[in-house]
Amino acid sequence: MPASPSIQAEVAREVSGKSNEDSAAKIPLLLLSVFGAAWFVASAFLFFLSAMKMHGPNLGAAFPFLSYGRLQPAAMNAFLYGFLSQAGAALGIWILARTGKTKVALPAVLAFGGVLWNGTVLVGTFGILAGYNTGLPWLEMPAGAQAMLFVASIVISVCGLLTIASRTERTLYPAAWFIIGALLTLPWMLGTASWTLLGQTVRGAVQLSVNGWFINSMTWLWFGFLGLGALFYIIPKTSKTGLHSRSSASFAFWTLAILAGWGGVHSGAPLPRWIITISESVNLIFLVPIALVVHNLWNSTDGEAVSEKESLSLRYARFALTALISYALLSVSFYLRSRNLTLQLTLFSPGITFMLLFGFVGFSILAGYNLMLPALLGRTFSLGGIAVSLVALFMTSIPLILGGLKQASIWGDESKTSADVVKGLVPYMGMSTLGFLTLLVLSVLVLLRIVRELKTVVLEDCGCATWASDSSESKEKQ
Amino acid sequence: MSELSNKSAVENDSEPKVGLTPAPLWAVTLLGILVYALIVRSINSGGDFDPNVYGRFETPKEVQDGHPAVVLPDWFVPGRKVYGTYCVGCHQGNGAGAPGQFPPLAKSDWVNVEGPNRMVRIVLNGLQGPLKVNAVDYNNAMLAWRDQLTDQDIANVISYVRNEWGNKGSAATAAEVKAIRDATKDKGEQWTEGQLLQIPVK
Amino acid sequence: MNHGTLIFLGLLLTFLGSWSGMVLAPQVQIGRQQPDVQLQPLNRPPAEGDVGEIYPQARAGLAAQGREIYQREGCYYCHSQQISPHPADARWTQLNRFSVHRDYLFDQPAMFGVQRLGPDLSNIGLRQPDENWHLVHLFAPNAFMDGKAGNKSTMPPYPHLFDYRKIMPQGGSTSALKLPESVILPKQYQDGYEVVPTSEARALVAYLKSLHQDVNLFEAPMYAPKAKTNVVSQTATNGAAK
Repeated sequence: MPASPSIQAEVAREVSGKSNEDSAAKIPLLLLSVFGAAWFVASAFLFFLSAMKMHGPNLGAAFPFLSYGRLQPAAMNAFLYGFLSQAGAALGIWILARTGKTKVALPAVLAFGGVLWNGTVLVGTFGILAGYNTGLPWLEMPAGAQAMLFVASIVISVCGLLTIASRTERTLYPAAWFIIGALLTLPWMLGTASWTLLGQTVRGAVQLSVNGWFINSMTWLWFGFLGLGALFYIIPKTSKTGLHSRSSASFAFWTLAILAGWGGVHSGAPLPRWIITISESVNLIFLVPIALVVHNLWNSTDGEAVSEKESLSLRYARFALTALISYALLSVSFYLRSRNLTLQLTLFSPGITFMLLFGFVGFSILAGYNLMLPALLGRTFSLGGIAVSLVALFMTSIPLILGGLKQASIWGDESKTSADVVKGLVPYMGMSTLGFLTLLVLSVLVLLRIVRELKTVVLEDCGCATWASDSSESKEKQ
Repeated sequence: MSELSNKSAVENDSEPKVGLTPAPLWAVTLLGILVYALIVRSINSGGDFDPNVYGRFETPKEVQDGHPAVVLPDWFVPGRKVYGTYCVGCHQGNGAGAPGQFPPLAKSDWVNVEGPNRMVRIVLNGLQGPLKVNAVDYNNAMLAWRDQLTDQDIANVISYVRNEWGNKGSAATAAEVKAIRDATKDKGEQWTEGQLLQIPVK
Repeated sequence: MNHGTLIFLGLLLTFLGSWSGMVLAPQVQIGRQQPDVQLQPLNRPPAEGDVGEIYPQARAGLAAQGREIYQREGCYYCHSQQISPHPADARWTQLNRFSVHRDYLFDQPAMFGVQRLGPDLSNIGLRQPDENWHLVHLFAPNAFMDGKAGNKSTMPPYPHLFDYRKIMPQGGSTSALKLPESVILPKQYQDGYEVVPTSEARALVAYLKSLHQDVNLFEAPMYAPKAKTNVVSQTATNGAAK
């Protein structure tokens, strides 16, 4: 019995040729992807729990780690650093290797970086739940974990950059610019922000400016660039049209690189007026590169008919573009000081942030997974779940955005009290709780699908059924 | 074996091509306009890049004007000078006094009353024995300043004390002080709490 | 754009650009501000022997510990501590003055907050100086809501900051919470038990009571205060801040 799959695998290697020499390079990418998907489940679960706390604040009151103030930052950090960063990095490095027609450099080191990154996020998330929150949004993991994250980011970044440095195709594909940009700047951003804020080199409201700068830079230079890198690869590849315009992509790249970091301060912040004025204006200018990207990529989608697997990627990518442009249009409201002042600190900002992070970056990653994982595993399969993804996106971000508008109107109404805020938000909260439940379902579906395919491949490769089933079980537990 | 043919299809996919269409002119123009708008907006309503201009204000001048113009009353500067010379030793610069010994003047229930009637008497003749201020007991003696300070000095310092450190009260006039000085010229000894409480505040 | 070096240099420049604008420039411009004597009213001539209130002041030990509890429990995820110049903020915080850099000099990190699911707490020390109110509110957030017409707080309770203690025959603890009747204790504690705050709860309340941004500053003048501050609440706040 065990002989048959192993023979099949031998044949497969001969036929595909490439997969044999690349097999070492696949391990770190698979590791990052699978753990990224596992963190997707973990963060969705934490988001769901924290959303539940809005309806039943007394749930699990006996356990300090189940209070909203601990669940919410833990969920956010797990989502940002566990899911988006890891999955995005895996996808990005894979695209670098593909477009550069080369192999992943230093696979063992990259795998080590991946393990380090996972360990850090694990320690960090448990640290937040256990009460070692640093109190700085997006930097909430305890200082030790933050330092380790910085080291791991250097390791991953160096492996990615060495991969593209060893390319055999001289011309850099536009997708590669974005990914190079993301990998280069990640350690800069993490290092600068941790040193400045956790090292307490600045005091007073300058902390708010630095924190806003960090969040805005990470949003565009890391998460945004990874998402764009993925889309700039996926859309031209699946639609078979080729990228519409190289110079337009380059223009968008540099505009985004210049603007990133300037838009993170809201109008009511206790900072001098000039900082706020610049930040507001930059929120409007972001429209230009985003419109350019969407225009460029949308023009790249009208190619010939594509296979079903690829059309799924393309559909995910199209929705990612839609989410991106919706985010850009909604965030124009931050340009107007009067709107900004009423919408700041309401649910509107987490709503549009989630639309960007999940709708744009997350969807790009799912689109990329749908191409990358079959290629890495040498099997044909499709992740599916696009309907669930769309429901999850709509039911999380739209209620938060509408709830934010409602919150702003209550806040501006003289006759209301803080009890009215809570009362007014309950229906929106209810919707978004269902949304986070859908997100949890989606993440579990994605993880199970990946683990099932992985299990099949491992079984084929070594023919040792017991070991394989053990390992996939332990993966499922993540 | 369909599995295998699919597999090679995955691996042999060609990489995408790139078109050479130039960047659209509308984007470049729009960017130029918006950057220009940013610069104009920052210069016009960026508070002159001044560290003291925050949200509500547009220019450093507005911040200056944001403070209601304070026209200092005539008694303020001389009153503070008298206070700094004679009173600050016991009652402290911030009017907080010293626990148990010197009662506070800041937010004191002896100062924040309708009129300066009792205060003028205390300054003229001094005070001794137990005293309750803001529900706290004090027991010490205050000197008489009848001979050192003129009517004008006493009026100034009392007006100052009644309006500093968050205190709010009417000013005292030299005429008022003179009237009390004349009325109490035979008093001779220091006041006690009991005697003072008999005197109307105004 | 086929040269890695070009991309590297370009990105370094753009990165340094936003870093200079949003990190370096504010730090150079306002980052070195020190606590200062705030003479009231502000634009009068200074003189020798002048003493005004020094603002801001470092939080006293207990309140500084309380800030760490505030941070640990993630209170800043629902409560902001920044008053914007928008008129509605003056109404909610009952103080007509917006927050500025100087208000946060001693907090590392300062708890600016990310959302306002609950009220802004910049001035909670002025609005609510009652220690027992705060303790009961942390123990049972719905104690002060009437529960009618859906008036319910979404704030989670923090029972782990409190202990149940058996009331001694010689009398209850002086620090026990004075619970309103609407608070119903768990069954096993209903008879002969009292709720005593731990030192963490006391620290957190000391921190909340030390929050007051009511000093008239040059860059943030305080207009006719809307707060119903009386002498008692003033002294309570000043006591906690010093």
